[in-house]
Amino acid sequence: MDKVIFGDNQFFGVNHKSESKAAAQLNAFQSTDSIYKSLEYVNEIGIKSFMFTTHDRFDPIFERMAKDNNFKDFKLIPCMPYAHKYANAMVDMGIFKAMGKFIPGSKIVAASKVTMSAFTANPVPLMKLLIDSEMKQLKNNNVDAIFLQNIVVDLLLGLGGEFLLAEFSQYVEHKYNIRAGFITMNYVKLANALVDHLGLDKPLICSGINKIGFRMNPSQQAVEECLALNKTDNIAMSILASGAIKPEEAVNYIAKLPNVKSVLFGASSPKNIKHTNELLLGSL
Amino acid sequence: MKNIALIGIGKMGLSHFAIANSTKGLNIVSVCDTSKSLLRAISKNLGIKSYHDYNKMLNAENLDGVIISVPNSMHFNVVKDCLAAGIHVFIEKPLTINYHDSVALQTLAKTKNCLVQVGFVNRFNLIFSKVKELLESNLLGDVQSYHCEMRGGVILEKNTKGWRNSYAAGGGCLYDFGPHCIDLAIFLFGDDVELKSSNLESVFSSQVDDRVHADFLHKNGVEGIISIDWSDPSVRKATNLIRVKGTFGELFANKQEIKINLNHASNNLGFNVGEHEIYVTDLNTNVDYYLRGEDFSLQMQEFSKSLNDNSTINKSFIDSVITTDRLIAEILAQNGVENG
Repeated sequence: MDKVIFGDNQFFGVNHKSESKAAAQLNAFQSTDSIYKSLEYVNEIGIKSFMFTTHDRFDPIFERMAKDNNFKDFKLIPCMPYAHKYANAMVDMGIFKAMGKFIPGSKIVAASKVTMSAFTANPVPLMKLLIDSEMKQLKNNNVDAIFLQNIVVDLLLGLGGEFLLAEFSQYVEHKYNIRAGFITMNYVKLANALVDHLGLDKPLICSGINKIGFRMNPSQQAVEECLALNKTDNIAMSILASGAIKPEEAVNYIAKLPNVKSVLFGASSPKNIKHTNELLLGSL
Repeated sequence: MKNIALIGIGKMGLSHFAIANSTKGLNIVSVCDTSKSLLRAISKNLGIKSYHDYNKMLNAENLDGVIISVPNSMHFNVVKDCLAAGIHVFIEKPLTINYHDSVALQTLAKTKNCLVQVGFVNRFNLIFSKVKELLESNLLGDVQSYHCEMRGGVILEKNTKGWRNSYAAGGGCLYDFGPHCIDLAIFLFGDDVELKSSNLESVFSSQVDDRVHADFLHKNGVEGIISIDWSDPSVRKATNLIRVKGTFGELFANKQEIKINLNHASNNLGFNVGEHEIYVTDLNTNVDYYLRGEDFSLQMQEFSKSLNDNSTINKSFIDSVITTDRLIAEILAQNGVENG
């Protein structure tokens, strides 16, 4: 993993601290062109990894990127699924019909897999089909890792369905020969589940880690202690706590922590992107 | 440790399932839903007993509490049956879609000494809790008026079908968003309130309202304006906003931030004259398990606490939330809508 990974929250108007700032950001990235320009800048200053939610909005951007020579060493890190896409369909059509809608390839083969999956109550074949569906969009791009979104990871963790996380990891790593990763809001719970209960070797986890302990569950101290055990590979996100922490202080905190080698961050303005990138490269 | 079952495993039911399953003091023993394939998947993959008929489940299992997330129109019957069986209830809002039914449940809950907690998650939002604390500490002096608003993009084109377009099924902006917005006003400013005037407006829906306007007057003289709109395309996800005016200044808050402008310093709270900002990042956000916001985790912790600490059960949550159902009924009546 690269030390610095660029994120996509700003493109969707996600700001965990302020609703008004979020709305302003959403406004600034209305067009796919404005997003492409922002990624060109990121690439230009040497950030070579982009982590994003598999939202339809990115499809034309990645198509263009695949043909753009400037991006030939640029790596994509999809986080799937884009939950709203499926959640909305689930509400409208019911769980099983909704899954049918998103399956790629032969409709007959897919439909029989969906039916079998429903009949045998085994969600694994469906999960594999959904991963394939998302990966089809990225067949011409460099993919560095595939992450499962926190809403799914944490849902399975809460329900007691962690075995599916291990299935996800095995499928991604065997079929695509790409590292699997997990985003979570419950780092300690997840690290314990993946390593202690499921026996995964150094799983890759991306979670909120920041100086003020914002959304570090169950507590900042518990997260720091678990990181020190070195049982997971870690990417820190929300290091700036949506702007509540100054970049210098944010980076100093991360640099002092054991076993955090990569940082995911997003920002709108070129100045902030450049500044945070330089700080990170200088400290990690 | 209390034995809990879930009735209804849709989007909300599934998230309550995960949260309750990760909440100290709650032990999920069974689930009930109408979808057999879903039940099979839950039993097989999560090892939890499943039922197709909730009455059978209530009889067969030794339950202390249930978490109910069924369609609005079924709320009354399901809650009634659970309370009759002496089981504590957590139910998604609205309690019922008919005020008389809600009153009947209130009476039944008292007879059975059962708790009824309604999913008014704004009460557990860190920022709104902070606003309540600041108002109670007299930061704004005497509160004179407020504007409580909820906006979202649920119905954005012509709608002539589905439960959302039917009052009898609990659809319409007033039934869907109304409880959250009105309950927030009651949570912050008290339940001794009367409806002065109101207006229901349809924008896209053929049978129900898409926008709600209501004027409240609280007994202590505080005037409130309620604006609710579920047809706002500019909102990424449903949002609540509150503006409060008092003799010492004013305050604006949404789920993530508070902005305060004071013309009178509050020395004991440490606020000078002028502008102040409080963000959710300034508050303690720790929860044992996080799925979709601290508020959802804290709400379930409260349910667990009430069940595990018997002393709190008598102070039934239902008393403080039933006013919302009364006001909704009055708004409907004032606008000539007959329901139930």
